[in-house]
Amino acid sequence: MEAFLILWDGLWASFAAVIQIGIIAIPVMVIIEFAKEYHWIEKITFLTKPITKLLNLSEHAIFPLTVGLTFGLILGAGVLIQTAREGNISLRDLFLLNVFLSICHGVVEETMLFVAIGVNGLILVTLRLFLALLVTLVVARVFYRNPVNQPQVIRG
Amino acid sequence: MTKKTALETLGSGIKAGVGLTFEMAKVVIPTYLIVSILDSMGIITFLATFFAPVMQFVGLSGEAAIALSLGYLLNPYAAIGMMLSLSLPIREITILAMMLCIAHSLPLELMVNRKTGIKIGAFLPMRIGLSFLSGLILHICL
Repeated sequence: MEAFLILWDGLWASFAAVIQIGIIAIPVMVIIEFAKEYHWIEKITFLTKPITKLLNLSEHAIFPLTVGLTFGLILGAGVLIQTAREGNISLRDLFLLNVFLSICHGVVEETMLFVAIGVNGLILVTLRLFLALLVTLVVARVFYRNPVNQPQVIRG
Repeated sequence: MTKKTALETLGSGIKAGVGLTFEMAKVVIPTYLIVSILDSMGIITFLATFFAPVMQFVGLSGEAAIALSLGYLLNPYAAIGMMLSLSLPIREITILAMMLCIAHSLPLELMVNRKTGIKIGAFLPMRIGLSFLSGLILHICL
């Protein structure tokens, strides 16, 4: 009987939590869908341009960085692979973009999940962005002091 | 690719949102139930005592270690299910959320990094290290 009550309570509580997440997730996903369809990404690249300037990345890095930052690592990596295939990105830029994006990606969707359970999203985004910038900058300074700008071509 | 109308875009957005909620439900509800059963048997408390010393470092209780591991290995959804089921205080939820934002779904995401054609050897320690650093920062600031 006690086990039944635990299950029943758990079922209700977790169901309520999922509904709460859905209330936030559905509008956010609609916005993301519009952003993809109407190429809003190209309109917000001015926001990410300072990041590429700071890290001394080439212009070709702006698009994959913006896509990864807003839509997530998988989409960002997809664009990154495409950019690399076209031979437009150096190994240095490719590595640094991976470092940055692995720490900070998909900020819309991932932050939203935690905002839905009551966390202050501003703290999450700010600290994450700051740490990603800091670490990438350190990696750039330590390992890539002399930028090698040979394009890296991925085959396959 | 043909251009979608605004209505079609709205439709696919809603579909994606419902899909995401459904994906969450599939993970959050079972995790929540399993955790509450394990908790009632005292197993969570038992495991938590092992992790307590490490978790103390970032201001979390021992139970949080299990949510953190679930997030690192599987995905944030499973971790959220666990966090809700343990009804942790909001301060701990915030610290955990921060740590999980920096490092989650590691096996999957590291493979994605590797697919872009780079060596990923340093990525696992980097993300877990940063995850704990971010937790420590919030532990000090909050």
